[in-house]
Amino acid sequence: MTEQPLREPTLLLLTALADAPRHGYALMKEIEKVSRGRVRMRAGTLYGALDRLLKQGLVRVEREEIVDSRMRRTYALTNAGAGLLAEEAERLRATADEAVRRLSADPSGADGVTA
Amino acid sequence: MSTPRKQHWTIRLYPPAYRREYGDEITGLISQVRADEGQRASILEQTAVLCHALRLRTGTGSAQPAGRLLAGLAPLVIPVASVLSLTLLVVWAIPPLPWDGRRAYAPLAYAVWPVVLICALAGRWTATRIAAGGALGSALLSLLLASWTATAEGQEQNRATLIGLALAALLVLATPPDLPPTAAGARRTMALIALALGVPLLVGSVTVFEAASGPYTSAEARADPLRLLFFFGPLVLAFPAAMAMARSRGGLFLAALLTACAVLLFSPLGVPVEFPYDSGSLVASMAFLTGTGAMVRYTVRKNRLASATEF
Repeated sequence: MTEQPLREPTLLLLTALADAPRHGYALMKEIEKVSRGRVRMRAGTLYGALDRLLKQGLVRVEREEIVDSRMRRTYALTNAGAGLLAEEAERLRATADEAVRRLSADPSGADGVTA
Repeated sequence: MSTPRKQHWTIRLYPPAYRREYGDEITGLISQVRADEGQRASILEQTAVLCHALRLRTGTGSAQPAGRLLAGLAPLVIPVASVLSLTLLVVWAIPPLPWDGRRAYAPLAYAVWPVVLICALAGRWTATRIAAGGALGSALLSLLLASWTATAEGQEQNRATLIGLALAALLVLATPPDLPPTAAGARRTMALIALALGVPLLVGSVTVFEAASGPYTSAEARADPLRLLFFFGPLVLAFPAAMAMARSRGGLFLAALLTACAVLLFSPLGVPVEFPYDSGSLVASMAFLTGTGAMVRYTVRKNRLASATEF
């Protein structure tokens, strides 16, 4: 299990790579989509995070190709990255499930707090 | 074979090794943003790339230990700078007593810090960084204003505080943006430090004490906010600093270093007498306790993790 929750940029980046490998610009757009337009990860932040996640072994370079005369890398999750993301998703799901259960509980029941 | 295309000028600021590795890729990304989203979006990307290059040049990227240290320090520095600024603002606004001494505080430098704290507590890290930029600018402007307008004494009184606040704002700006202290734990730490330090600072600075006027006087005065900060700061920060150190990757090394420095400060170097407001002994002893506490916590945590993986 992860000891601490993932920071939001890390969580969004790993989520954006969860279904398919992506290159830098596609990652930026995907993060915007995953966060429903709330987070726009700039190039400096994105490459800073990628650098860290590559060193931590959570992300790997899937392939390198020349596009429009320029090198372009496509990034993918490693097994460790996928495992970490799955653990975090499970943690978030457990919290969300508990929140929904408590919200839908009958407030007039035995455990409910009444005025 | 296609000819290699020219890299964007912002890429030149990266360290050579990183430029060779990623220069083409980042140039391609900037070009794509410009083509899809226009010039304004492209300028914002270029600014972000410049900041990233600067972080790599200074060794404060999120992949480097210094960057992670900055990210760990931000939740401690923000509440300290904010509550000190708020207190100085309040003190500046109340009429001084004859025995309060000279108070040449420059309110411009302090006004932005409460905004920095509010944004950080709300988990809005981009807004926090923008406010910290404002705090840095206002501190630098205040330094200039103080040197132009105040007497030598007044300028001297302001300079250390203003430089301290400017450094605190720089630390917030230098924190890697992909490691923002916006998690619930970091925000709770900031709120607790702000409360634990802010209440005694504010109350102590506006309350009239006879003892605050100094020795050999029976007149009443208010305590200097900086004196209160130097007293309460080490007491409040010791525990969260120890916990943060115990959690960080190089925590054991940092804790050992802090303990060794505290011991050195205590006796062989005799530095405590040099600390302002006679706070040297307190600072050194709290630094010793922080380092020792962090080492103990680190060892306990390591053992617990090791025994958990045995099963």
